[in-house]
Amino acid sequence: MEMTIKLLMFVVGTFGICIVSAAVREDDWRPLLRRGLRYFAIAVSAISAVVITMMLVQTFLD
Amino acid sequence: MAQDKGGVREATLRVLRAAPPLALITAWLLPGLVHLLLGKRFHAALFMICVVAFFIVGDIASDFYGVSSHYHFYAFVAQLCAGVPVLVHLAICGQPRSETFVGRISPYYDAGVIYMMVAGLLNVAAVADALERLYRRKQDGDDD
Repeated sequence: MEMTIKLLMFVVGTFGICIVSAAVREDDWRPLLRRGLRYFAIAVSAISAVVITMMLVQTFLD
Repeated sequence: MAQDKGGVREATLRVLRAAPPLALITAWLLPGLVHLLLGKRFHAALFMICVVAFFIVGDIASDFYGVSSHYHFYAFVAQLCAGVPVLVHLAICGQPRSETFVGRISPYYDAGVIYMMVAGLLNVAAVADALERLYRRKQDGDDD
């Protein structure tokens, strides 16, 4: 339960950061949402890549 | 009536454009207000909701003990950037003392502190955007 809530906070927080970052670049709401979603996809992919790499390294070291 | 509102808005914008420090303080204290004055309602709502919601969620997650210049100074500096929400928190809750934490630290304390930091740092981005729009309009003269 605790991990689920933390994961949810992480996802919502990342999405909020991405939307606000997109709002700085775009004037209209539709391209803003599109850019925000693109940023979100990039952020989630990058974080997943880092986590998976760390897990692989840890497995290799163990 | 609508013309009066428009007149007040234009007068406020003129004052803010003439005094950059005042514009900076206004944009910092009230996230989204400068965007609202500039007619950017969606941006104003987005910045206001994001900053205030992030701060409130972080405050609840940390049991209202997450703002402390003593226990995490750098996080405190980032939280201060959130403007009115952090000032209201300090006025109502103050800062935690050492006995506050004995036997009762929320499992979401760290997440709450980070959420409030993010609120402050998002407000920095909002302030930069507001000032850029305020002075770009003045230089370019575009009325979007």
